Amino acid sequence: MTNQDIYILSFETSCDETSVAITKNGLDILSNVVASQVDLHSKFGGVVPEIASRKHLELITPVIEEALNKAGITFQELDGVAATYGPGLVGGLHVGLTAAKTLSLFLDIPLIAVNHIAGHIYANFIANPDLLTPIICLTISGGHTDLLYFEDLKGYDILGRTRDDAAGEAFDKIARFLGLGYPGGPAIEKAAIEGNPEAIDFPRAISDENSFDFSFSGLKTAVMNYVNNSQQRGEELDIPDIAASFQQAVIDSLRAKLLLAVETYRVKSVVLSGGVAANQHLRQELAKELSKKGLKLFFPPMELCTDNAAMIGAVAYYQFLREDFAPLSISAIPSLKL
Amino acid sequence: MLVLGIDTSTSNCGISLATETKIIGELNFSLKRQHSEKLLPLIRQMFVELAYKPEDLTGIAVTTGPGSFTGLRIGLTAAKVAALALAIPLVGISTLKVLAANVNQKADYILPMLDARNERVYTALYKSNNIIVPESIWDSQAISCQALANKLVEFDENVTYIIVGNGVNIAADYLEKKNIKFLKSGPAFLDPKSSCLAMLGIHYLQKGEIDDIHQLKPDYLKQPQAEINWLKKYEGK
Ligand SMILES: [Zn+2]
Repeated sequence: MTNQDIYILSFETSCDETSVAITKNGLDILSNVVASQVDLHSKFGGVVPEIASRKHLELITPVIEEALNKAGITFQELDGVAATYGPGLVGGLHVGLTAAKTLSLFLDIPLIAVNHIAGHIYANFIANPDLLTPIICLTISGGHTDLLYFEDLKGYDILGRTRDDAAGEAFDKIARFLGLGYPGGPAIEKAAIEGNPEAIDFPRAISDENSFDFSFSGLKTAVMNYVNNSQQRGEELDIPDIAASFQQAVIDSLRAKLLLAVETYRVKSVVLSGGVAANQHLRQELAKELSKKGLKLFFPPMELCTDNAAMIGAVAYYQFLREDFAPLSISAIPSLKL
Repeated sequence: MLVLGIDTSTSNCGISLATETKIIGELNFSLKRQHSEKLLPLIRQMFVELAYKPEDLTGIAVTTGPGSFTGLRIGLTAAKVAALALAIPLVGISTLKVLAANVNQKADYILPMLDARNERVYTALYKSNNIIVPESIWDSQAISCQALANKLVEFDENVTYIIVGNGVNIAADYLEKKNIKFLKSGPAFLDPKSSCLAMLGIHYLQKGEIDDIHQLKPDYLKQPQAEINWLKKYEGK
């Protein structure tokens, strides 16, 4: 490896954001253009894959051009090209991955296939380059709820996952059920501000003390039953109380397993990643609990919490260094795990 | 002029390389659902075998549909990004026109059609005029076989239509019932040919009929199902 600067163009198209970033040596973001389609999908109460795929195709070249312009870089200066190859919606993944393959072939630069979940985790390393290892990382989003242990930045062990719904999925479903709109995370958080988190006692984490796994389907069912029963009795629903109590139950579940992991492994840092990590209430509660143990909670800044290509670029750089390249025949894997 | 043709609009994955006077190379593979895995490796293989480099290209032609939504997006993504990276002109061409351009026998009209499922076809009508580019009579449309048969009776029942494309087996019965005279073409005409695409591409690029890389998008001929359902539910359409 020469000690020249490495410029990588990265794509992230796994859900409803079309994003292209140019990164220099991994963590230095020269541009990170994110074209969100959230307005297109809001009336459907969730991302519609076919609509998302169509929009990704329309946005892909303008976003590439804007990312290059903002970075002041030309195609010819790129050393590598990366794309998310999973997990996510297959139609969107096809667009980003095909775009990356095309640049790889036509510019004769290596192709790097990146796991989206790893991207969310590495978003933390962009924001907090002084992070100390070993690390416990909690990734929470619409598609995943994973508890990971990092001995160093090169690899990780998976301690626990959700056994059913992801945390973000639960937020989306309950928000839609309560008529609060989409995306569910911010909608619940907003509704919960005026509510009492102790008003309703919804079920918490899996009680098995040897497991780091999560489960949210029981909670989801409990909220729906509560609402249906109240309505049958003709009672007026207190939406803020329901939202606040639901949110608290999710936070308590996450906190229980996070603290169990922190106690079991002697970690120096705890990081939070994924779309649900944007929830302010969650951040405050976890930070408060960890500070009692002398630990600081790290999370990426807001703009890196949602899906973006810079985080893919960060992972891609480490893969580039160890020549972990993908062939042009690689396919998208919608259910890719860490 | 050296033009790369990319067609992934049907189960056929087709690529070709052509100049004004010659088809230099052509690959047409029936792949079903593997276009995303195969397209770029096949393009690379074609360049390697023919000893050309991507930088040699002076234009790209791509089919814009109708066809498989996923296939169209893969082909268009590759074509648009390649044209942007190489800073060369791009032209999008109807899949139906590419099918029609493959017909070189004398006939009154060419009727390309692709299976759109549920006894429907994607079709358009072209006049055969003995030059490279078939003359368009009807725009691309999604239509039930029954409605198409009626439409053809009204249009001209005394002519012979040459039918190409994989929709022929679905529509044939309906057309026969209306006594429409047509010639069914053989297996060589069921899928678009990427060499026809490249030749059409050269024709348009020479005339300066170039598409905007950012604006070019597929001709899906169908709204997303979620959109159709939503309109039905909320606007009674
Ligand atoms: Zn994500």
